[in-house]
Amino acid sequence: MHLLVVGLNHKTAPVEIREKLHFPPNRLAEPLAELKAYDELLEKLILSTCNRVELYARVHHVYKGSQLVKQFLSDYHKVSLTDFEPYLYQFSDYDAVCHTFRVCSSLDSMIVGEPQISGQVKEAYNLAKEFGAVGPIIGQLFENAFHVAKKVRTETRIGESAISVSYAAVELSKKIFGDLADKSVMLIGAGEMSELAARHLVGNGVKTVFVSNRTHSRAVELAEELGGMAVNFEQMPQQLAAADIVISSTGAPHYIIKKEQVLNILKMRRSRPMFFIDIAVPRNIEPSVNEIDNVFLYNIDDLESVVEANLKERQREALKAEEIIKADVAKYMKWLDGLSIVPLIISLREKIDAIRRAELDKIFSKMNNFSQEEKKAIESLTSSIVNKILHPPIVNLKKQVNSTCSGEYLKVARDLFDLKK
Amino acid sequence: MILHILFYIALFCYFIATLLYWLNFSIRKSILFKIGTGATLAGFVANTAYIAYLDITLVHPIFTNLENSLVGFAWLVAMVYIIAESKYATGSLGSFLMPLAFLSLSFSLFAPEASHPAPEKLKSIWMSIHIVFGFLGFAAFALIFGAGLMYIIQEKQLKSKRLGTFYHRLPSLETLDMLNSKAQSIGFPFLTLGLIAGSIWAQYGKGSYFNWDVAKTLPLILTWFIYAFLFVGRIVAGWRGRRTSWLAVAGFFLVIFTYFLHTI
Repeated sequence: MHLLVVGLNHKTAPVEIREKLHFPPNRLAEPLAELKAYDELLEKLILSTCNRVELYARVHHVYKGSQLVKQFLSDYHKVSLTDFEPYLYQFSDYDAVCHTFRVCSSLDSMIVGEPQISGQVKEAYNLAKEFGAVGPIIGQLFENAFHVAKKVRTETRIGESAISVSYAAVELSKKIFGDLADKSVMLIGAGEMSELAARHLVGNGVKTVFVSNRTHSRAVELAEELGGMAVNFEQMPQQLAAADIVISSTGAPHYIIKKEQVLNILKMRRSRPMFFIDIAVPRNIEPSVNEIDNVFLYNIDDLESVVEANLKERQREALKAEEIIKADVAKYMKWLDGLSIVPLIISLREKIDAIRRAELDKIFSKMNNFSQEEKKAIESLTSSIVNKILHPPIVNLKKQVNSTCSGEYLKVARDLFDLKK
Repeated sequence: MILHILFYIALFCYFIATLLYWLNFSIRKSILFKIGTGATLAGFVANTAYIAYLDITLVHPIFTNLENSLVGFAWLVAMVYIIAESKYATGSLGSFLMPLAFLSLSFSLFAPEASHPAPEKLKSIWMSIHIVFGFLGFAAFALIFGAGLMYIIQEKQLKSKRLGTFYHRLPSLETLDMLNSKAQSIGFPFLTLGLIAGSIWAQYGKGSYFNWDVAKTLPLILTWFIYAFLFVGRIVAGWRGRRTSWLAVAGFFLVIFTYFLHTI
């Protein structure tokens, strides 16, 4: 019995290949139904996202299993095997468990620490479970994977710091203002990035939004979308004092907010801090504004370097995550090994007892002048001999659950007693 | 004997708390923070027991000489930290305050023995009020020192736009400012009341409201002015930010200096 993962992802295959093998997430019923015919695949699960297509399975033989999976992918999607085989990777047993845990914890994702993969895997798992494609081994594998993913999320900061410019703006706002619930943001000018940042801010608790644009109708439109108020562009300078966060992205060729202005505004605000985000090129806000106490000014370059620093931090946290995952992989492998021992002990007992019974039958049929009492005595004698002989091997097998090379031990035990797998 | 055991338990616990908080600050593993907090609480309990024992046996009631004032100060710092952290959950305040508690306790080991306890005839209720309020003020200023330092570091990170290790580990400027503001609004009144009580006590004991020893009084007046400045400035003009934080941090050093002069 082996665990197997076969698939490709954004690291090994370009999108033109990935899209050929993609399974639409709401139509996994068909491929799972087809897979039922493949006896070699005892348990199976299909994971298909925009960045990866993978098949997880429990198989008898790794080689046979992986050939079948590749054949299935080729037949189902009507794509020639040679077209995608070079892009495939394959993991078995220990490596398969590692891969599963890493994928679930977003360590294999395009952006390490991304939050969607866990939900996507859960969906794939639930679907496979519904179809009875998942059994106890794969089932436990994924239950453990979800548990590790949660642990990684809570014990490392892998998903915490912002890695997009608009999220970075929100993160900085929180570091300056703490709770954003009673803070206000003013959007000057329009633009995808500033709108996105404003949306994130609103999503993080900001309730008061002002929008100002040279084209007033545009301001009104955006204000409505964000649940805020439009401000006349001419009146914008006066309204600035009411804003804690100012996001500026107009096409003006000169500075529209100067240091003098901000000094006055700050007095009106009684030194309550202000955060200016200048996304425009050329810049809208005079750079010396950053020199004012209690005022923070970030331009587009500054935000990009924040993102870069955060990405580095994620890499460091990813290393921590790998350690956590390694520990849990060992736990799962130990559980798996434990499973093999019980059936092995049972089959050992059954085999030896079968031999005993066969010999007893032989002798009783040959020499049929034993009394009932004598028969009983012989039965109990042979039983006692068998138990005494089997006792040390069974005790030692049970002890193996806690050792690291139990797999080898079990193999030897099977060979010694000639037990089938 | 019990006294010694309690003291060393408190010292050891504060040391462990400081170490664990620093470690947690650097590698951020929540188990370190939890054990550190446990050590803080254990140390505080031992510290409290020590002080209570000291007071009950009336060997040297707390705050009556340099040695047990340092012990009392450590106790106040720990108490202030526990209260502030339970309210604001900064996660990093301990790294700045518990070292103070530990240092204060350690210094008490080196304090000259029984340095100038007040002669019996001078003891009065005003002396007690003076000392208690004075030290409560000190504790608040210790909080301002810790939170002020944290504010300065965090503000520097945000201003320079190079967001390093401190940026991620320190709480928001707003939280730090709230801590500072609360501490200032408590510390300054206590200091003032303590000084007034001190004057009244001086009147009874030494015959005049003021001790005109300039060397001792000048730093005291300077300290009071700094905190009055900050206190009024915040209320009237909403002063906050980097400059006021530096002033508060400098004020704390002045407070320590003033206290040492005071006790000599």
